[in-house]
Amino acid sequence: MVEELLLMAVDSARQTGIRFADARIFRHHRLEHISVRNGEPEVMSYGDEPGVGIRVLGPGGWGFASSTLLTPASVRETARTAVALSRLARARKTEVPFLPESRTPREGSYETPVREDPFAVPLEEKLSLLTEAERRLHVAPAIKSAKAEFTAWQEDKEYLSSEGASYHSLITHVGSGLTANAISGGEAQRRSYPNSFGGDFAQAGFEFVRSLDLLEHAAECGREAVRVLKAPQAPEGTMNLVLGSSQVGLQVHESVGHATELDRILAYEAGFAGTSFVDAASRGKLRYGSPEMNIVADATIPGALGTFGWDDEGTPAKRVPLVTKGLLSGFLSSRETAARQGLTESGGTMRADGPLRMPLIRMTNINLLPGDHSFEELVEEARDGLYMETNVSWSIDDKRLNFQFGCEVGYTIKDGELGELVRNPLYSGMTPAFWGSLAATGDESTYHIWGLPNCGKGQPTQTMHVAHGAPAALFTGVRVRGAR
Amino acid sequence: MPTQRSRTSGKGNDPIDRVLSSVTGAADVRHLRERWVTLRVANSTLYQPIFENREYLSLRVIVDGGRIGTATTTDLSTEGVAALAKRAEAGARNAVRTQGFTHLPRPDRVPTPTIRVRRDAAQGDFASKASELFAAIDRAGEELGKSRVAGVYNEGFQQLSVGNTEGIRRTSDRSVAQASLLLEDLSFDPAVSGWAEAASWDPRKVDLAKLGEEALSRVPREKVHRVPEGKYDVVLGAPAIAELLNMLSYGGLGAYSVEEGWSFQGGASRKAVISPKIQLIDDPLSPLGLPEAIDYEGVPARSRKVFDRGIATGPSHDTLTAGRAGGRTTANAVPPEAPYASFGPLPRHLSFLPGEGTFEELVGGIRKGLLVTRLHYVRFVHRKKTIVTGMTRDGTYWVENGEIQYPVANLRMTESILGILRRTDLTGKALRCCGDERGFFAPVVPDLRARKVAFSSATIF
Repeated sequence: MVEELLLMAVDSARQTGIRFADARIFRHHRLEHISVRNGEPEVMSYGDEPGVGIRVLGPGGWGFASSTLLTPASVRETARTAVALSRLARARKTEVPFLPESRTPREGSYETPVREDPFAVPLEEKLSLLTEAERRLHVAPAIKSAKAEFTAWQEDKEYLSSEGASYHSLITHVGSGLTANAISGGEAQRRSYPNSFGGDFAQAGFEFVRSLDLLEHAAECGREAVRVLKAPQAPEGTMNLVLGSSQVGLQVHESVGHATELDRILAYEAGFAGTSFVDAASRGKLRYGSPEMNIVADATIPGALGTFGWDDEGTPAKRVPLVTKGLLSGFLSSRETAARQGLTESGGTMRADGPLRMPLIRMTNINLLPGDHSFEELVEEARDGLYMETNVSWSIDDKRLNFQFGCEVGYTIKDGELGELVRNPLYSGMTPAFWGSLAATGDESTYHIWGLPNCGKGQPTQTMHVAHGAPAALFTGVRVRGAR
Repeated sequence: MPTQRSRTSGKGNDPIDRVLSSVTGAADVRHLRERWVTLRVANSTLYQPIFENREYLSLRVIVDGGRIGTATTTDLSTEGVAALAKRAEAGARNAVRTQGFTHLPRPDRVPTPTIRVRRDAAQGDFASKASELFAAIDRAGEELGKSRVAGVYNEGFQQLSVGNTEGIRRTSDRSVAQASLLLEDLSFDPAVSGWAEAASWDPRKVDLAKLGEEALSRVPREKVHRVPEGKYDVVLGAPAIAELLNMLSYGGLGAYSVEEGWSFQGGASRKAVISPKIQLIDDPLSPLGLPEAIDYEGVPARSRKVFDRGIATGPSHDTLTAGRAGGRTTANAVPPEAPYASFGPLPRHLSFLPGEGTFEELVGGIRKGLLVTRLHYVRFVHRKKTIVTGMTRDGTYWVENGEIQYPVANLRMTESILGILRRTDLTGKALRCCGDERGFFAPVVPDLRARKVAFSSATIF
């Protein structure tokens, strides 16, 4: 049935002047979210939203239409709508270059290796785990609220293009985490495990959630929330800064991942997400950071949230260097933007967050490669300064230059050793100068691939799942202060 | 574009009836049908024209007087509805009893409010709206040295029906039109720009050519200067105020933020936290905004003071949080499923009453300071203190002796939202709806003037 609808979608779009068409049908687009807050289930939610999205490249440019109605009549109508939209600007004679399809197998299947289907694990087991973990966060009266949450997503989709490419994907993502909120008087502090904003996420089954060992870590998470509530304010000044792995991951996300999206660079997101300080002609020339800085976009890493078989325009997953020894070496690109930029192939990063939305250039797994310093060596090399971990606040300008990030906790560094806990630490800077101050990157023991399920972009807004491999890292001469 | 009929339409085949007859225990159901068109402009071309047709069901089941489960689906077939009921009931049976739940909303004599709506929204071929966009692009090309136009036009129609086992049954139609245009002159380095945005329940009132003229009038004809970080008297444009109000809604005006202790409203303090001159209400019915007649529990929407003489009047509630607080719902329920459920009830239609100042008077009262058009990437730095950080964007200007002097490079504002509203000495007469793309947040706001606003760093463009 789905295969027939898919053929119908693409055939209906093959009309005069249409250069290219593709369709994605989601048999299932599932989401399960359970959160327990202060002993009660805040959310026990399950959703399944199948649908179809059809994209065409016509004489006036692109047209895209989508529907949740998976009937033959609706699919044909959706295709006709996409064609009609692609003709809206035909009188403007806009050229849209588009690279031919990749010479890979034209049919294939990709499936997340899952040991334990997260949707099949009994609800009572998931709820029991979260309820007990949440209970253990309440270590003191100062913990006024706490939360334990679990999320699983699954997309079962078929892709077909007018070029004949046909792919099936069954992709499963899961994640879980804890949050303890300590509040006293006018002060409020939060501590999360293993990361903020819902925890950590991976392309895996429920075995990933078990591996987080929430019960084991809950009490310490709660205790640290209480400790940071009573901690002194973070110091202010220009100093050496060691960032924990998850914060380095977010720094990569905001100041490298988004900045190297070729649609942003070419001003196709100027009205909303913004553009980039990176110039399209600066590949191989722009000094992005110190020689310690090596960043790749790698959609082939098993288990990472930004991994897939093919992107949403049929390009196979690949590994693309973005920054090599501190020099800009590549972009996140699509078949259209690669053609615009004179590249020979797409970077394979066109992704949509569901059947109803048009694919855009999105991050995959954007990773800062590890170096050779243990965490202790990073701190020792810093001598004096601050260590910060776990993001709590993030903001960056629309060209990805001026940023300010806040973390849940900081520790002073004195004489090469971690000192006292401090609260509300913030750091700020300008992207190339900040990455230029990267003095050392942590080794594999400090490296982790963090799943990030909440990357927003596009109009209508899409929320994409991406990942960042990141070691701890040492930056010198960074502006630091405390939020007051 | 065509209107796609629901496959479930027709007498005796109402999805809400079918769902309610499939569940045991208390339940409420939302049946949402919506269609949207989005026309995105980039690099002075129509870049992404998009049409979306969506129909879905959202079910909340309550068993044993307080065990709650929710489920959603876009599959309205018999099998889809059965699966929906099974999932929601399974969630409820496994849930711990929620404290404070008393009952779902019950029928009353309050009629469903009448709101302004265009039922033909997001139908047609959109050629006229595309032509308006092309006119704005061409006009910018004529007027600016080297123009680049970006922006978006969104138009949608939503029909929300809510029914529950207590007997509530309400349906409300809603239309949304929203647009923004960014005009840049690339003959300057860095580029100078002008921004304009508008939103209305009536697509005819969102005139894209006129919006283009407004954006064009704001494009400076001279290069960008730099000013250092510091505290400045500022005129904040309506889009900037809207962004701050949306953050305040989520961060401190909803029941969850009070229950969790994050809200500035925590504690028994009844002192003024913003300027008593500011009249701020939550007004879902305002024809100046993007009206909604009912909330997601089917309760008739109504306006409510959010601050009274500068004092916060208490958080927004749905029936669940109202039960916990011992009060009544304020008709601010959001959909009960993820991701909305984590927000809890929110005031989404924050509206200023008109102030007394013209734009010239707002700017005229600044000896040395800034005019900020809008803010980008605003995030909480300290939620309880309502401190946020965000960059200025798309038109920041130096003001001296009451007159706009020249564009300046963007600055990072790191400030308390309540602090800004406390140090506001004049609000504008003219109100503008700065709703988001789907009208979820739809504040109606003026420009305003605030004193000593902190900017913590600057950028170079």
